[in-house]
Amino acid sequence: MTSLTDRYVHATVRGLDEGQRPDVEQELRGTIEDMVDARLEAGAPSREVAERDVLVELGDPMRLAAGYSGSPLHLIGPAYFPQWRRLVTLLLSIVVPIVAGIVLVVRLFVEDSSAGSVGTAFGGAAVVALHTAVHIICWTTVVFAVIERSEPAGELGAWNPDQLPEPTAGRQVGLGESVTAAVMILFTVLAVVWQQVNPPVRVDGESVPVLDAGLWSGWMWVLLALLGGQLLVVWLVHRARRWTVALAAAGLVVDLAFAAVIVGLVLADRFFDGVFVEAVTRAGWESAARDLAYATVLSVVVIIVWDQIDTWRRVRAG
Amino acid sequence: MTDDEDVLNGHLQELRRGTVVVAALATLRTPGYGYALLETLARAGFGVDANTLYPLLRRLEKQGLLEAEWNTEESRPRKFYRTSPAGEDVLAALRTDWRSLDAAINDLS
Repeated sequence: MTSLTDRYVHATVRGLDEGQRPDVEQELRGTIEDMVDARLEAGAPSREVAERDVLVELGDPMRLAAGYSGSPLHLIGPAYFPQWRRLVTLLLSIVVPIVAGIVLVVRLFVEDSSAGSVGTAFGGAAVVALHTAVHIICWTTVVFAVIERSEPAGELGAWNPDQLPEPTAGRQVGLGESVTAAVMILFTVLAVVWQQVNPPVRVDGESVPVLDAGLWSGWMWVLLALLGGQLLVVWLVHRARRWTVALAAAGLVVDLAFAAVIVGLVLADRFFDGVFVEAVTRAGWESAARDLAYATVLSVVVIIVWDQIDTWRRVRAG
Repeated sequence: MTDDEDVLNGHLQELRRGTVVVAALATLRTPGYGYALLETLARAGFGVDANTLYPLLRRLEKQGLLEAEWNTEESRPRKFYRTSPAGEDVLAALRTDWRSLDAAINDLS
């Protein structure tokens, strides 16, 4: 029958080197017995109680073993933690968006799409993004844990002021804002291309794009070019760190041109695809043509006005 | 009140951490085994946990500051430690440092 002491000693020494084990085991047994005797002399009720108290006093065998072997009680310690954290943040911010973006594009354009599968395309991209993030964190942590425990412990490159992040003071337009604006423009371009290449709407078994397919021989390229112009303005504003009068004026010109083209096309009945509008009208929305036209013109105007007010306010403040 | 006690205890622990080595090296000029040392230090006011002292003794042995020998004369075999010559040198150096620290603090206060 193994006693409490036997189990404790066994739990402690199994974390040690072969060479150390017999020595530590014998010394530890002797110590426990000495401590139990001392407690009995001091008036402990029984040997079992004394034994239990002694083992509580000695504490977690894993900690005791770590004290004997000198191995660290952490996965990644203070020596390597900052580098681990910087690397993980860097990898997550670069790799995960790229992978998610690729999956999204593949699902939207290459696979068969219908209105319901837009959700699954995004859902699939999100799941892949999560898996990628987990793998990045896991393998980076494993590598660093191994580095920490390997001897000789080397320097992973000392810190120097070149590694400081860019100054954000005096920056009116932050990185987050610029990235959001750029992403929204790219999203719009993606949506426009997608609804033509892999349209979600089906009429009589054939896919029908929402916007007039005839636009692709002329005006659509103008619209895409104007979206590209907006992207350029976002980039220039980020470079300049604030809205200047010149940049705001450029942005205004691009926005007005964009609005003019869309409104013009809507009024000439060349914006929405004829088959699409017909199908929607037949399905029950009787004033579809007129409603769509109004809605589009109204939203374009509201967005432009809102945007410009915000921009010129920034110019005044900067 | 317990917060203040905790703060004080935390600092006292830090102070003790370094001095236990000096106390052990000094005491072990007379050979002794782990548990007896524990009791001696406790009586002298150096309260140290058993799970801190034993790994410490092993560390000092590995560093060559203590010599160890198993004593099998009595019914219970015990490992006796003794300060080695290298340990004596380190002890002298530590005590010199201790005295100069004490003087410096007196000057600063």
